[in-house]
Formats: sequence, structure tokens, C-alpha cells
Amino acid sequence: MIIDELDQKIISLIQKGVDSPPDDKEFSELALSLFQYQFDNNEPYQKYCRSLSLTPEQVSSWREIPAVPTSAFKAVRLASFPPEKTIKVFHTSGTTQSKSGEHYLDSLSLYHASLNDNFKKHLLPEYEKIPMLSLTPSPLEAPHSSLIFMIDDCMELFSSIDKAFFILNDALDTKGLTRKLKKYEDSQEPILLMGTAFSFVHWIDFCTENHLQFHLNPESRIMETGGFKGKSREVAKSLLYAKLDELFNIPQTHIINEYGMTELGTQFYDNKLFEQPSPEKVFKNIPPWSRVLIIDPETGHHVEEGNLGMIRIIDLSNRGSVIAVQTEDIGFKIQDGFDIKGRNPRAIPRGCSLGIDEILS
Amino acid sequence: MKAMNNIILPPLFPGEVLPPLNALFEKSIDTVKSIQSLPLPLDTLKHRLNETLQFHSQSKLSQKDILDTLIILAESWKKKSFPYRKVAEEWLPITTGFSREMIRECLDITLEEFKLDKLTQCFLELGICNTESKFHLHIHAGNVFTSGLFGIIYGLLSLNPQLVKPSSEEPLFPWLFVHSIIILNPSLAAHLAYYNWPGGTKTHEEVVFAYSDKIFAYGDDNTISDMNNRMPSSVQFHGYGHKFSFGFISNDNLLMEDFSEIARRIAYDVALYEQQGCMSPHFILIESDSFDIVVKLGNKLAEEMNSLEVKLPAGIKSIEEKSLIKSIRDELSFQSSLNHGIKLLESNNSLNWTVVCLQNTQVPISCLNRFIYLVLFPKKETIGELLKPFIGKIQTIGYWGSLKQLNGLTSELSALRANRFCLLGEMQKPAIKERHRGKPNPEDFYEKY
Repeated sequence: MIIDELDQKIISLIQKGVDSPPDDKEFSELALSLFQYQFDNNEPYQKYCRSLSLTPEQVSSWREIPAVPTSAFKAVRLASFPPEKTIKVFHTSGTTQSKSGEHYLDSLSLYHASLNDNFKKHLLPEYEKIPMLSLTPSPLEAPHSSLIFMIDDCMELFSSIDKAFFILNDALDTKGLTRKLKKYEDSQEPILLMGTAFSFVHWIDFCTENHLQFHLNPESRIMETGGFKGKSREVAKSLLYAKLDELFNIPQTHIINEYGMTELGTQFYDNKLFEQPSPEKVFKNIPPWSRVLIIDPETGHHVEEGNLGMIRIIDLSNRGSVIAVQTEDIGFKIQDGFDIKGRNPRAIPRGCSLGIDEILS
Repeated sequence: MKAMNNIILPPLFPGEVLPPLNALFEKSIDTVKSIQSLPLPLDTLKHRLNETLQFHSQSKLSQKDILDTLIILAESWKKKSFPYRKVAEEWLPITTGFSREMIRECLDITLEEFKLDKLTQCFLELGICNTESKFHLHIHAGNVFTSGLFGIIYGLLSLNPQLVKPSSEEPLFPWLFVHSIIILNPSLAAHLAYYNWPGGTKTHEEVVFAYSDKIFAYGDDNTISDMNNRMPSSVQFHGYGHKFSFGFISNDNLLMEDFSEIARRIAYDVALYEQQGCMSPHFILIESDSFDIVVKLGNKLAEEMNSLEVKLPAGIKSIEEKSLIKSIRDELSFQSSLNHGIKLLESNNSLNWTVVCLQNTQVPISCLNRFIYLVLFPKKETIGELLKPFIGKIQTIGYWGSLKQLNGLTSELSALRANRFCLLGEMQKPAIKERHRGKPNPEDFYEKY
């Protein structure tokens, strides 16, 4: 199948909408075609598949498609097209100790298609436009960040005239953000705040020190993403949400966690606003163009609902790289979605030996 | 559904009625959720500490009395029928995650050091000690349950009052040890107390620190540094942060053997304590110009790791530990599909052991749980240069090779400021006089070799 035809078929599946019922037959056919395409055109992936003895002839279900570990994006250019066709490269954050990963794209059409409707339905189901404030750098400051690209893209489509980024030169613009939040406290116009968990923690610290609180319209909402990887201060999610609720007057039903990564074209959001579930039924929705398997690290097989394992994503929007990505995150399936328990720390020493992070720090 | 219980370990101070061992551990193991300690109200704690110091000041025990008690104690602990040992073998797998066989092996090799000649040597080295009016406090960390033991023994032989604060993860073994010693010689209760408080509880720490004049603390570097900053100036603080160990094989010896002996020794060093001790090797440098040699040794080591699983079955791993091993295996598996300089060998259908052969000379830090790297180390390279960034972080260097080659390496190895040198296969068997941190002098190694 040629690229255009493949892209068209995937886009048409995506355009059915994030709330369309999953069609396993269509997904399976597309996934296997995409696997064949990537096997033929992505040399490192092909070598990996061969080393696992899992070639397209041997794979009959999307569940069997070999998944590359996220670390593979650091090791090699994992693209299913020649270098000269590259139009965008997203970089993983990386750390001072490790090389950052790179996700190459030869087209943005799949990327745009998969993120827009998904974002709107999960964050702004009842709004066409809303003021959007982002506690992140702008695309000018972080041109290789997939998160910033996504936020900017959604701002273009869904923000009212007011949109802004509040990290400038690696520092939170506390004055600008305070001024803006005061304005929306006065006007009581609902807003959408976006940022990483770590940037919100910084903001909470600043507000606590300066005795600031904002009584925003409770229909406002927050999109919180990312963890604390490589950061010095970690805060439990429940505590973070309680603090955000207290600081902004935004109820926890309106604080949405986004799960995404540079290596994937698709994002996964809490279903809180999308389906308004009871608290025990909050989970991350799986859009119809992707699938999630929870893998038992011991056996490599996928586990039943409720059991913990490693999150593996099969994502049709990853046409230009690799369809199946094995994350280092731990999670579990719940009904039609999944949730995250945490990330395996790269160092978990229980004895007196040194952990990897510690020795490299 | 079974009702789940907690086992509560009470503090051990002199003058208190000791809880009978059987009563505490009569519960069926599968109905116990956790083993915890019982903190005391601060006033009671102060009272107990005061009382202990008072009892200690009246104690008539000599170093010789203590030495005799320790030897009888060790002989008792070596017996499989000794009630404390039985409890340890049954219950330590819960607090440590290690298999019962691993607990037995670790107990046996530790108790090996409790011999008359070795303890006498410690006793002689210490000489006549002046007792102090405050405690020597031992703050343990992690699940390497025997790691703080030698420090307590030294402390007892010095005649000073010892206070043991176990790790919150593994409070049981120190409790059993202190309990057994007091039962054997009740006079020693005045010399040895056990008290656990939730880690980081500053109010308890302040009280206990005020009653101590020497503190030996184990933990991660941040904890040690934080504790050091909070120490009263009157206290001598000895903090031990995390360290790591590695092995070094010089080539000439290697070429003459069939690798069985050396593979057996490495497997043993790696498996003990599931590699979680600071004396566990993370990698073995193999001085050679041939990657084939490394792979040949890797294959032999894989066989030995497999065999050792019968004698020392792997313990229980958390989901985080499992996924970490799997992630790193996947990463290496991907890299090896593109690069012939990586050979990954792993246990079948399990995460029990992993051997990775690396052609590129590097310092790979293991994710632990029997995950060992064999690294080609070309003859022209210098070990001092490779490990320069890790000076001060190295615990033990396990060596295998000729005396002639070791002689040539002495200055380089000394510069690494490792705490201890030994033969491969003995990395987990420090002599009692080396205590937890060993002796930082490679010349000592010659005497043993």
C-alpha cells in the first residue's frame, strides 16, 4: 500500500471521531498493513523484528506486532521514509545523563487529525472557544517539543483571542500569569490552563509563598500532563489536584490528565469531562485509531483487566515511525480504557547499592 | 477471605519484660500483612534511654564476657533448630523479598565470621576501651539485613551502650539478633537496645540524637547529608551513602582456563542479596582484546546463573523492579539487533537473571536483581581513567588474575579509593574487621592472596 492510500485510510478512521465505536476489523487490517509498510521501509525496525522472529509473515494479529521500546528512539533514526522527506523532528526531553530521543515525521496531517478532535472532546466538550493559558514555553522557545506543538495547534483551533505561554527563558512568568488570572477571576469567564505537573507545582509554591489564590469560574479546567521525570521534587497526584482545586477553585472533575509522549502521535485523556463518570470509573480513553495492551514484564504476554503491567501502545497515527511502542510506564486496563500507576524508576535500589540515577547524578 | 494482621515488634530496652518469641510469631505467615515496630511516646522514650544508660553505668561486664557471649550466640544461630534462626528463615522473606534459601545462605556466610579467632582479633585491635556515657546509635537502611551487624558487634566489644534503629523496610533481623543476645545473657540488655521510629520523624530523632555521642548511619546520599546537617555538634557522625562494586579479570589467567570456576564465582557474587548490597558487582571488566572471550565467559556465566537458581532461588520482585528489568532488556535487545557488540543472555521465561556482554568499554550500572554486565576492557586502556568519575563511590573491587598483573595495577586501584579488594567469589564475604565498609588498602589483599 502506498503512503497516500495508507494515510487516507487512517485519517478516515480518525475522522469517524473519538467517540465512534471501535471497529476491530478495520483497525486490525490497517494495523497489519501499516506493520508491513514499516517493516519494508524502516530498516532498524525490520532488523529488530527479524531478531525477534516476528516478521509480517509470522504476525497475524495487531496484538503480535513487535513493539519497540521508547529508548529505541534515542538509539537510532526510526523512520519509515528517507531523511530528505523529514518535515518535523520532535525531541524527547532527555536528561543531562542521557541522549534525547527523536521522532521523525514526513507529514503532519495524521498528527493534526489525531490530536484535534481528541483534545476538544476531552477538554472542551461544551465550548467552541475558550481563553487558553499555558504554563509552558512557546513554540519559538521549544521548537522540538511535541507537547508544545500540540498545545499550540489546539490553541490555534480552540482558543478565544486570549492565549499565552508563561514560561520565558526557562522561568515561569509569575507576574504575567498572576495578572492574567486576576483578570479572569474578575470577569468569571471560564478558562483552560495547561501545563506539566512540575510547572504547576512551581506555581503552587509561588502562590503559597505570596499568599495568592484565584477564585476562577468553576467551569474552568486544567490539562495537566507529564510527571516529574528527572525533577528534584515529586508530589503525589492526589495532593497536586487538591492543591490546584484549592488554588484556582477548579473542581477535580475538571482537572484532566493527559498521557502522551514524543514517540506517539496520539494522546490519551481522562474521561472525566467526556463521559462524566463516577470517581471509580475515571480512566483514560483509548481513541478508535489506537489500542493499549498491558504487558506482564515476566512473560511478555498481555494481562487481563485490573492486573498491573507495562503499557504498550499500538497507534495508527505513528505511520512515519513505528506503530507499536513499548513504554516504561506501569498501568492497568479498566473497562474500555486504562490508567497509569506510575513509571518504573530507572533506579530502585532497596539495599545499600547505588541506583542508576544516583550514580549518574 | 482471611483476616490480615500486622506483627508489631516492641522496643527492646533493659528492665522490660521481653515478649516471648513464639507468641509474636505464632500467626500463620499468609495472614500477616506487614511487620512493623511500635514507637513510644517521647516522654517514655526519654525515660527508657535514661534507664538504659543508668543500667549500663552499673554493668560489670568485661570485653571478655561479651566476646564469650557472642561466640555462644553465633554457634546457636548456626544451628537450624535455633528458634531465632527458624523465625528468621520463615519471616525474613517477607521483609526482604529474598527467598528462604537466600536468607539461609546470607546468614551462614555472615555467621562464618563469628569465630573465636576472628572476634578475638577484633577484640585485640580495639584494645582496652573507655566507655562513654552516651549511646552509639546504628541507623540501618534497606533490605540487606545483615549489613549493620558487624558494626554492632564492634560496638559491643568496645563496651559502649549500643542503640539499634533498624530500617523501616526490614526491622526484623536486628530485633531478632538483639532479642537473642539478651535472652542468652540478660546482663547484655544494659549494653544493647533496639528502638525503631518512623524514618524522618524529627521529634524522635532529636531525642535519640541527644542521647548519642556516635552515630553510624546508612542510607541514600541525600538522607545522609540531611542527617549530617541536623547533627548536634557534640555527636561524631559516620554516614555511609550508597556505593557500588565491580569485578576485574586480568587476561593471562583467563586464557588458561575453561571459565567454569570464574563463572561460578561471578554468579555467586551477583546472586547474593539479589545484587542489592553495595558489595554486589554491577559489572565485570575483562582485560582482553577479544570480544569472543567475553561472550564465551558470558555463555558460561549464563549456565552458572541457571544452576544457581536451584540453590539460591530468586526472590520476589515488585512490579516496578520487573518492568525496569524488562525495559532494560528490551533496550539492549533492540540495540543488539543493530549492533554486534552486544550479546544479551537471559533466563528463560523469567526475569531471574540477565547477563549482558558489551564490546564497547563503558561503566554500565546495573538495575540489580542478578543483572550483570561483562565488559571488554582492551589491554591498552587504564582502569583508573575509566573509573575516574566514580572515585569515592566504589565499595569493593573483586579481582581474578595473576599476582604479577595485580602488582602492576596497585597504584591505579589505590587511586580509585575503593574500600575493599578481594577475590571474585568473595565479594559478599567481608571479614568482620572490614565491617561494612572494609579496608581501603589493596596491599592488604596480598596477604590474603
